Amino acid sequence: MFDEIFDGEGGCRSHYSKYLDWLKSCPSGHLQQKMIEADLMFRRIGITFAVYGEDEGAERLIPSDPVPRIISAKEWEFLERGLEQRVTALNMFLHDIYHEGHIIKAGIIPANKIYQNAQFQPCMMNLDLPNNIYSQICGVDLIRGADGNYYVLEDNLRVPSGVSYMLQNRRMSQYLFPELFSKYQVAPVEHYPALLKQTLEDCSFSHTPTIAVLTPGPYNSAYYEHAFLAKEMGVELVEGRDLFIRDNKVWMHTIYGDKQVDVLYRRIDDAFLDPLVLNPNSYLGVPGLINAYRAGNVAIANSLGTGVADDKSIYPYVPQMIKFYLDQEPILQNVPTRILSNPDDLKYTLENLDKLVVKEVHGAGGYGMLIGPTSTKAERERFAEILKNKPEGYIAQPTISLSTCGIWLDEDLTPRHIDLRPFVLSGSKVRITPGGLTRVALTKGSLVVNSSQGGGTKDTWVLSEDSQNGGV
Amino acid sequence: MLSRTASNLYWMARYLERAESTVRLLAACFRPGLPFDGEITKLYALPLQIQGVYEEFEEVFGDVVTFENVVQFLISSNSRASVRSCLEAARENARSERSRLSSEVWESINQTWLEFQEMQYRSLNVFTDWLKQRLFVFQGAVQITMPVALSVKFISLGTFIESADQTLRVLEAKGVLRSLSNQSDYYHWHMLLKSVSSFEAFQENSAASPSQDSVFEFLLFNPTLPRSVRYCISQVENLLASLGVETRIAPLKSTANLLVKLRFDNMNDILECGQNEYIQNLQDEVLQLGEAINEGYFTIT
Repeated sequence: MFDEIFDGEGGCRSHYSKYLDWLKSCPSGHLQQKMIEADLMFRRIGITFAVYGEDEGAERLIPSDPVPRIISAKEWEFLERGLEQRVTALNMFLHDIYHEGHIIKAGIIPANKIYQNAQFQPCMMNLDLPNNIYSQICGVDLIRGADGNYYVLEDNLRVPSGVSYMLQNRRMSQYLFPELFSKYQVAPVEHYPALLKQTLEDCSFSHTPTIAVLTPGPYNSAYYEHAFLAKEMGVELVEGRDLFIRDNKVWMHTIYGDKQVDVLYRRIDDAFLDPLVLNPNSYLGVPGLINAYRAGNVAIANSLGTGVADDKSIYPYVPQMIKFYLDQEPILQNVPTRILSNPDDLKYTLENLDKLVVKEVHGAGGYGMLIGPTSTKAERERFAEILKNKPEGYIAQPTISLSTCGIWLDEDLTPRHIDLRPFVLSGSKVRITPGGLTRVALTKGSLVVNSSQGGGTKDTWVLSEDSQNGGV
Repeated sequence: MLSRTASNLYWMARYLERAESTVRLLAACFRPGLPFDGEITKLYALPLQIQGVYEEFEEVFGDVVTFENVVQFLISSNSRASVRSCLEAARENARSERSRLSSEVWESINQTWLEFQEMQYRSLNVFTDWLKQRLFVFQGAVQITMPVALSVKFISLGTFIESADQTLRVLEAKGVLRSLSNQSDYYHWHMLLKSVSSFEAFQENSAASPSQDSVFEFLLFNPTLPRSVRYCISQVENLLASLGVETRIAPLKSTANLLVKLRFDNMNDILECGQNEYIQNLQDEVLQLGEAINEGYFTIT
């Protein structure tokens, strides 16, 4: 197992040495006290997310651990290149499948995996988008295996969330531990909303577009983030009921009458955007929106139908996409994945269920999966039956032990598993803020970092220059 | 600004003002040592009547109109008029529009709601002081941390409309108050002024001691007292005018009509019309003004 802080031979990794020195110099109870302050502050600021199901309407805090996850400049430079390459290829893939479909004709991906995919949106066919970008905002989930290499676990190309926690974690660290920022040169992340706004401007045909953030409303689990981003960008935060279509254009009701909207940064899933074309029971969207979109009168970010490219059934093909579209070797690796519609892969998987992680191809958020090593025999038997009946619905991967990083617990660093979600913005160019959101599984041994399942977060530091930060 | 946003900000301010009026009213009616020789339950029922929730109270407590029950009902029950409901609604509106508020304003409201939920209720005085302080923080944060732009204008509109409405309610209740006790008038007017936090201002302003005429004129027509109906409505007029050339006509017209009365009427006009009716008419007009604002700015057509 790879630990981000300690090298496994009694020492610590060089970029953590100044941090550990600082930690030793803190009086006992210091971090605990700071955590209490942070908790109060998060509560007062109202940085909360709503949990569905149990205790409807309740607002929870996502626990934030005070120990930063530090990434060296060299490592980040590598990750950044890899992310840009991967997201560029994914956008080219989306453009391709909604136009000529070269990758299908070349026999690289079977046509049915695309056209029969539930995420495929026929209404996107032959629509030309500015810069050919479909997923303007992308959150790539990265994990680090026991070999120390990073792997892409998932590409979130639909409506990825979490960026507000990345920004608030940084604000909190700077507030609680200002002295650390004079010891380390940490690459700033605060300009993310400005980059997001540029990216949204890039996706409009208009020169000075009116931008709005489209939210499902205050009861949505990520409402805090929607409001936060709207405020930081200085744009309206709208709900579907604030919008209407006239002359095939999108308008919002304002106190001075109607105002045209040019770009919608939508935080609503595809299905709910337009009851005329998609889910007819949706009250969250705007009737006629898709028509206006197709007429080029409004830009929608992310575009519709991007889910085909981050579906788990398409994920195994991403390395081939990179070669096909960019003629490059993939910089970031995929987790080796077995596609269970292949009989050989199914056979291997059924024989090795106790070692593998099995995931539903359309599942998300850590639901509908089997983690072999921690499962019971009964669970495995149940899953084996499901796999035999519906192999095309699942993929299997080796259990990659996520790297660990210490969290502050009982006055000590206690290792817990983490992942990393950097946010990649694609417009006239690719823009990436250094770092991203580090999620941490707070339960001992757990590999599930999702906030809906008891995960926490950490501030993520990318060092601006290793030589000045005690690194190599 | 979105119509929905304007509406949420306006109602946020109204709910906060209403919460404050409710506790001020309680504190004024139940002031220890207030001489009272009438039937005490009638005094306790007064805040319920002013807020128009006496029947709702009866459904919960029957005719057990005790101090504790009234306080509990108006502070922590789920009644729509309770302080709890007002604070919760204000906080919900604020949360919806937090992208339009300064972080200080949002945090002041959020903090108020969080503290309210965790509060161990000790006494009415302690609670009243706490809430007043919290709302001073809110109003101060609005004034100091937000540009005087659309958000602040709709917040202020809500504050002044609600304040005018609450002052009129207190005057409406005056009839009840007078019939309750044979004690000298002084205490009635004293209590009434206290309930709109205007006793000190009155003393400073007026050579006469509180009497029916002087208090009525003061609370209705004084041009500088923040809680007088005239002051509130002239603020509303300024705000509506500053919303710009595209301003809707109906709210401005309502305001102008109201102000003609408030500027030029005096006690004789009140007596000519009959006190209750005069107040009732003003209440109706404030209600219509609220409606005109609603239709002019918030209603999606």
